[in-house]
Amino acid sequence: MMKKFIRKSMILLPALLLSACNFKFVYNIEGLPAGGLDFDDDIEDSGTYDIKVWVDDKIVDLTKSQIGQFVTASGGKYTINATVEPVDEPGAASKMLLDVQDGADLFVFAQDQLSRLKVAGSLAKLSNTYVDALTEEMGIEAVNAAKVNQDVYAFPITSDNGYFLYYRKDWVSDDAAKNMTTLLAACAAAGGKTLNFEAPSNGFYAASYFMATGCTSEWTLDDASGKFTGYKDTYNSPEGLIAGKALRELNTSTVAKNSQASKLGDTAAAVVSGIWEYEVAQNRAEKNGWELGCAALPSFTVDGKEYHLSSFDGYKLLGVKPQVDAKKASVCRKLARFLTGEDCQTERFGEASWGPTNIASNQSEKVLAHKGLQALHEQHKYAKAQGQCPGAWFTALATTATTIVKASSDGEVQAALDTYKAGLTDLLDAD
Amino acid sequence: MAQLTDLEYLKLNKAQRFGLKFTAFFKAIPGWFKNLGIKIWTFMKNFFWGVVNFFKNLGLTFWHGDWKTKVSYFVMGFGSVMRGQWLRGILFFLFEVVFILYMALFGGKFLGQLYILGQNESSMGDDGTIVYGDNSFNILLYGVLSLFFIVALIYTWYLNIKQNKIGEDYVKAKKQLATAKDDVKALVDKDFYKTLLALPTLGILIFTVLPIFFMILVAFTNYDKSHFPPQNLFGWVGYDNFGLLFQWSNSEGASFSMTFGQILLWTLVWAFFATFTNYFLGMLVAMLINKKGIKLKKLWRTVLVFSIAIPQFISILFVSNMFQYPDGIINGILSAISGGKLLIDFWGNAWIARITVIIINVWIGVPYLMLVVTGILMNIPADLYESANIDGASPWQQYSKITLPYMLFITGPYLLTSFTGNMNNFNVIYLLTGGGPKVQEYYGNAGKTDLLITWLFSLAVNDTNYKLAAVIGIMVFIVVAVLSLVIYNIIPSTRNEEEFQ
Amino acid sequence: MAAEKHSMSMSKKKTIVNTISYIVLGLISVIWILPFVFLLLKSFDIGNTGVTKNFIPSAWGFDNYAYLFSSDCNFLQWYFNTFIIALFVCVIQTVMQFMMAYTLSRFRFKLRKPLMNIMLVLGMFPGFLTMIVLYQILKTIGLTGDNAVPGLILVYVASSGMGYYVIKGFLDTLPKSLDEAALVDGANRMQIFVKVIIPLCKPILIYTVLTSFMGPWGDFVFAYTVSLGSQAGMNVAAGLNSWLSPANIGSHFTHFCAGGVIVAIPVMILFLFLQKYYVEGVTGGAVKG
Repeated sequence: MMKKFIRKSMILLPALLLSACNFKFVYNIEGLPAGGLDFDDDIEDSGTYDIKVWVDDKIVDLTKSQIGQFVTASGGKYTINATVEPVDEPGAASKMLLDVQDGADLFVFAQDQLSRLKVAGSLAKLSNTYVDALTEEMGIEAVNAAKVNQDVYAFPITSDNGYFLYYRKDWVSDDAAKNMTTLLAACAAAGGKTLNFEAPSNGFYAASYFMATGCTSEWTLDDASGKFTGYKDTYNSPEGLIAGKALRELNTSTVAKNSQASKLGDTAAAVVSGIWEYEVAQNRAEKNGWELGCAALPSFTVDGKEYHLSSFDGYKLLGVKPQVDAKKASVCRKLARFLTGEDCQTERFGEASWGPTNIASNQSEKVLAHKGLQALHEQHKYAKAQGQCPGAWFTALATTATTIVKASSDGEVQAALDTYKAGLTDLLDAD
Repeated sequence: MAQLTDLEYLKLNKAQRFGLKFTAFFKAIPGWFKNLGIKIWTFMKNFFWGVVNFFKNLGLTFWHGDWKTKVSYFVMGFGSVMRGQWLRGILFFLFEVVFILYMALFGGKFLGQLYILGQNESSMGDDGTIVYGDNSFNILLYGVLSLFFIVALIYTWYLNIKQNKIGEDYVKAKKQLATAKDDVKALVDKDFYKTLLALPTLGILIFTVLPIFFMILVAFTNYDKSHFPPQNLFGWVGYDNFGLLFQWSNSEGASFSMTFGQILLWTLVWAFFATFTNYFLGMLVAMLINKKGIKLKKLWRTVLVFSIAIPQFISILFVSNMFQYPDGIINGILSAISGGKLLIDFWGNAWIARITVIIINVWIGVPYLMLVVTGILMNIPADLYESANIDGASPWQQYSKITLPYMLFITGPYLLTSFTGNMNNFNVIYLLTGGGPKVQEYYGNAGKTDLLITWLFSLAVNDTNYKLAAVIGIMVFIVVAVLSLVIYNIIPSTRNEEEFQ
Repeated sequence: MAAEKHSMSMSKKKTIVNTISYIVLGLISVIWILPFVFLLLKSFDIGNTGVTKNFIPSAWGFDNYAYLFSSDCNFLQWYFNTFIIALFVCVIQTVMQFMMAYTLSRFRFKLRKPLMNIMLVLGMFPGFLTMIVLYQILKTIGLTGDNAVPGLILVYVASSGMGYYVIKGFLDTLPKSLDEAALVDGANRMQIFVKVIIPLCKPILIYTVLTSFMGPWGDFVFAYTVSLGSQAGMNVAAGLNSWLSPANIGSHFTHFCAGGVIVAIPVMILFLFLQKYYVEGVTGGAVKG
């Protein structure tokens, strides 16, 4: 118990110090960080508000304190009775759909739920002033992640939902980690240690190979009905066949393992996973006395040509639901902008290791020192933004990949791709 | 079919007997339909005359009635109060007041839009605001509730009129009417059942009948993710959703109807194996424990009962993770035994997953069956076995000639309920596999171990596709109802209620 | 001589058969108990909080239990909620089911058969479908979110009359002459129900209370929906289940195991004490139901 208390106060200490110093930044009268814009919803919105927020378990306390900072920064303009409840991202999406009226005013959700939430009317569109400000502070890719067709519907809160390569340095050298062939050789040389990469059974990872060779799959969403009405897909192509060959090649290796669960440093020499594994991996490295390496995904070679594994840039977004009261809508947006602003993102990174979307936050020393985020940024060059696609597309891709790795000839790989192609129309919404 | 005599029947071998029963069953089907037809006809006839008489009586009562009765047509309970039955009268009146208040303040506005399910769309402003329009969901739900209320009112109103008629007749005949005190007395004595039933039936009406009614109606609307209240309206589409069931898509890939067929098939296969593996293995274990000469009977039984005591979501979820690939305990044991060579992806391959769920279901269900069977085994008359022993029957013969027929006879209805129960066994499938492995050729992200009930759940909760979930729900109901009807007619009935009393 | 030899081989055979039986029974016991042993072992594992191959913890400790009772976690709140729900449900549900069962067993009235048939048919509809409707009804009367506990109690007990079968089966075995004798003595129907019938129903009463107490501990779907994110309205099954989502399982699997043990213990103790009644209820229900 005592230990717990100490640990807890250790976490809180920086936050306390931070608030004691009353921040290093200057606030303008609007209650927004310096550089805040002249927003188009400049209605008189001072007052008292009940605001419900759903965020992941890990950042509930932090979010409470950040809302407190928002109120303080507003200089008494707003009084907020905040209810911050621990709801994970998939839960938040389904609960908002179940009951938008009693649901949260602000909620964090994963990017793949964006179109569904937008169609159901659980997200309020952002005005151009917000979009311009976000673009300036976070870059166009982050803003695109919150876009459905032409409009932006949420505030990017973290970009660390992507994945990269973890490895144990005394088993896999930095150079060996750059190429799949050398990587697998290093794993084998370390005594049959594995590379855990869930490429065949998870569409999210399987896409790495296809996107690496230049395949694309774009889906059109009908704005009015919210249904997927068409697609442009080049997975069944010569490039797709190359990716398929590489996938099959990967699986012929005895040390490649179709698994995500991290046994890094134990039975696995390298693991493909996201930032959510970072803390566990780092702790294990420290405890067992080896050095953790993080890098962009390796490249692979097919028929003498080299391709770099691609990946999805995964964002988590902070959504604001449409409000009945225009004043509350205005305050909720300002709060959302505050929570996704530079200071809050930096603080959130410090406490919960959420990788910032904010360009300035990403330049902070701490972020630069974070091996995982640096690897993610490195991988970012090869990554594609996860556009809008039917959820079943990932399943379809996983099925195809699973068939491909079991294939005994290139002909069978081609057959699997043909099957994939034939099934795409059915992923469109029926009726 | 020529009727066989008993003697002729006994001469037949098993296959012939089965064949006979089988053909008899199907030959009886036209008869059922005929009976059904007659029943429906009689019902319609009675219904028609009932309605005619209803109105005739209403008119006559009004015509011949005194002023108290006439007022009661508009102010319910008036006549009763005037004739001294104030308790009934006040209750009638209160019901009328509640009804009027409900309709005026709440139900009326929903009822009025029931035919179209709302017209005003919600509109979203650029400043992050929304003006909510009509809520189709509430219109449908409370519209249906209002209909229930109206039916209840008509019925109460009719009772109220009947009371007046009786009241008048009694007064004319100079008989004593039941007073309030008599009413109360009756409610704890002669009419005690009304008191007892009031609360449970009200609960069932609001929390089971109303929701089921609602969901049946949803099958005739376009309630899905793009028609999702309160932000969007949904409306009536007639039989369109059912049409999807019979629409075989032209492409080779998935379609709703193909998926439905496949999943229905697996649901039946699963229910069959889940029921009978449990049944026979449970019987085996029970017989083993109850065998003469086996000691510590109570211990063995308690060990098994132990696993019933732990909430399913804990035990099943844990077991599901034990079978995880590649890091579950079972794979740990397998790889330890095989030196790391053998690892099984239990949940990744359709057939392995299907077999695994059936096996794990044995683990879940056998203790329960063991208890059921133990009770029945004890009831088999011991002298049957004694005489069998004297005749030198082998244990197998004793089992197949005495135990099994007896068990099947007694547990026939139970087997049926557990079959339909397994068809809807949400917990086991959902917690073990979540329906997976998911495959592309199935519609709506369904998986190879999905039952109709789990598919329905994921359609509703994950895809917010309530219209199709409702269609599946109705189909599940039809399958279960038809199966029950058919099987009830084959198995020997042991359900004579009065038998024990 | 021959007869003696025969009996010798008979008893020998019996011993062999019994030995095999014991081995099989032992094996069965192991198979049925082992997962729970693994669960218990895993709950003491502080070496790896995720799913692991090894059932022997790499490091032992009470950290997982400490976590449950720490302020980081709402486990106590969930547990308390579920306990309250179970308490109310087991009382009200038992009363409702007895009311229904007694009526259908002892009274003969015009709507009796139709009522039984309707309940049979209603039972054939998949219940999950109606979840969203029940949610809306509860929302209308304000029993969702923070007030989910009374809302859940209401939904659990409201339709419980439909589960009257087992009790009715039992009541049907009580001779009607009991009622008739009491009627002659001048008792009214209510008095007969309360003073004559109920006291005879102890075994089935305990069975009903036990099963309806256990029910709410296992609801991980509806309770999750109704609480709508509020920790004040969450029950223990939904809470523990949320720890096994793909994002959480790596860091919470051992917590789930520890929570599972704590949930299972009181229910199990209750169960083992009242096992006799449970067995009676189950066998009775299957035969007569």
